[in-house]
Amino acid sequence: MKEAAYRMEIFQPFEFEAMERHLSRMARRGLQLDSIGSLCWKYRREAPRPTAYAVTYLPQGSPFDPQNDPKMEALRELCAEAGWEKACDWGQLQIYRTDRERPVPLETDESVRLAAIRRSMRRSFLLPNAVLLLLVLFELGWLLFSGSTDPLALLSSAAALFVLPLLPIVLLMLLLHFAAYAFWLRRSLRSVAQGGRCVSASLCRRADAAFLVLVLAAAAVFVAFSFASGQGGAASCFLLYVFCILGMAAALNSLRKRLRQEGFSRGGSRTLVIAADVAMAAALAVVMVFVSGWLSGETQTVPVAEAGSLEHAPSDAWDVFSTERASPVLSHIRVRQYETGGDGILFCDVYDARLPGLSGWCAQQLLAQWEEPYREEDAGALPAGAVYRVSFPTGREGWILTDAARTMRVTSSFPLTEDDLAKLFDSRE
Amino acid sequence: MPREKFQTLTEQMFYILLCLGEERCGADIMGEVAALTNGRVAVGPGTLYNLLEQFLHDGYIEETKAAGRRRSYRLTEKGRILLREEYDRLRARIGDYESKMGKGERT
Repeated sequence: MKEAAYRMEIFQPFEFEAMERHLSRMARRGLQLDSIGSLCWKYRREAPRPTAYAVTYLPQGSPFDPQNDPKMEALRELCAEAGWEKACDWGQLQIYRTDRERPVPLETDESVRLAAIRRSMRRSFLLPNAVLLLLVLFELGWLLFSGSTDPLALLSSAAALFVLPLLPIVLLMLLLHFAAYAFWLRRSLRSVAQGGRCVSASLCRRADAAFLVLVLAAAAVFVAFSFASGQGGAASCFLLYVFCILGMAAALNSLRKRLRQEGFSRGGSRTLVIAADVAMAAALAVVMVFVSGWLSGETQTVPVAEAGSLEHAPSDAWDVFSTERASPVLSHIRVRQYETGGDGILFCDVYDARLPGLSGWCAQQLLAQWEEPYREEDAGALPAGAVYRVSFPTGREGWILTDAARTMRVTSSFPLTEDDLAKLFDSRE
Repeated sequence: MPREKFQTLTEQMFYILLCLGEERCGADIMGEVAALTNGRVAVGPGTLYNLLEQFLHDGYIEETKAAGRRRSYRLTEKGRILLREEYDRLRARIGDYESKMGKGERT
């Protein structure tokens, strides 16, 4: 049997009583807390015994303090005198354990405990949650704004479609954290003022666990759906990104621990960890740009008919640029063809809808994007349900063709015949 | 509403300050409080640490020496006044009780 066990534990810093109960229960099952990492808590396997765990707070402490920090050592000394052994620390939380039957509790004055928790929570809970809340609000606002200005871009982005429903859930979770802490604080203040104890809290723990399951399930659905719908590139990017982020978190935590062991000052450790974080994030961004381009970005073949093959094309030589993006509901191929050494252009945007009714909606969105009004034309022999046309003042002309599964917008600097349009519209079949 | 800091002292605060009438290191305070109160009051190390830090910060005690990790403290004049005020407050309460219930009367 392995000597160590790793578990993902979810606690908010003010849920000290739930934490103490949980750790004491684990000790009775033969698992003693060894350390707390960025992702998992590490337990040591020992003979099951009724070890009591207790949490106290060091409001002046920091996760970057050296291990022999005088404040922590002074507390450790006092605790050792009372028969408590330090298990580990987690930011301002100091976790101790004892095998004594009736030990003196770590905290014997609830007003002092409450004051210490409140001071600790400002730095370890309120500040990071407030920053996260602002980021989530910004991200959500940005996505909604992008969605309102270019809904087709939003719908054809697998990442945006994955993140969009998750952000309100994250927002809700953060608000729940704030509300749960405010509620706990209010009840604890009242209880302590009346001579009672700080109240027990575990709402966040349960809600966070449910949230984690939801996120993992959503990620699994996203990956499975992406592979099933032929969008394995996006899913591979996502999986690679998640693994890189997890690896980064583990590496940074390992670096922080090492610096603490080496006795680096708080400022020095923090600076080095932040520098390593920034460097790794930059490297990850570069890697992801290349990998995403390789897996799902630039298409290697021309996805629509070449401009030179069309009837009134002014030249046979064209430069072609194309990109493709896809989500489980909509794919979008953009092809830009420029006449080599001339002014001719042929722009194509092809949307393939994977939901019934979505193609018609795409056509409506495209029609609404332009100030110049498109006129509906007779589809004639074209393989489309509806055809719209516009002539721009620059002399270019635009077409929108749509059927049940596909919508295409074409802008060209030269006249397109019915055969040309049919060739472009059907070129990916 | 939270109580204003050290406007009144809790039992733990009172006994810690009381023990620091003479110079003591933090670890000795726990034993001294237990001995002084015949085990009725126990001061936990987490509580003791946080209170010593706050008393030190607010000038009610001063650090007299630090030998390794052991630090010793002593009450300052400001601390003596605080302790005396608490004593007077407790005496006033006892006086009020006795005037109402009679001296030595137990309910």
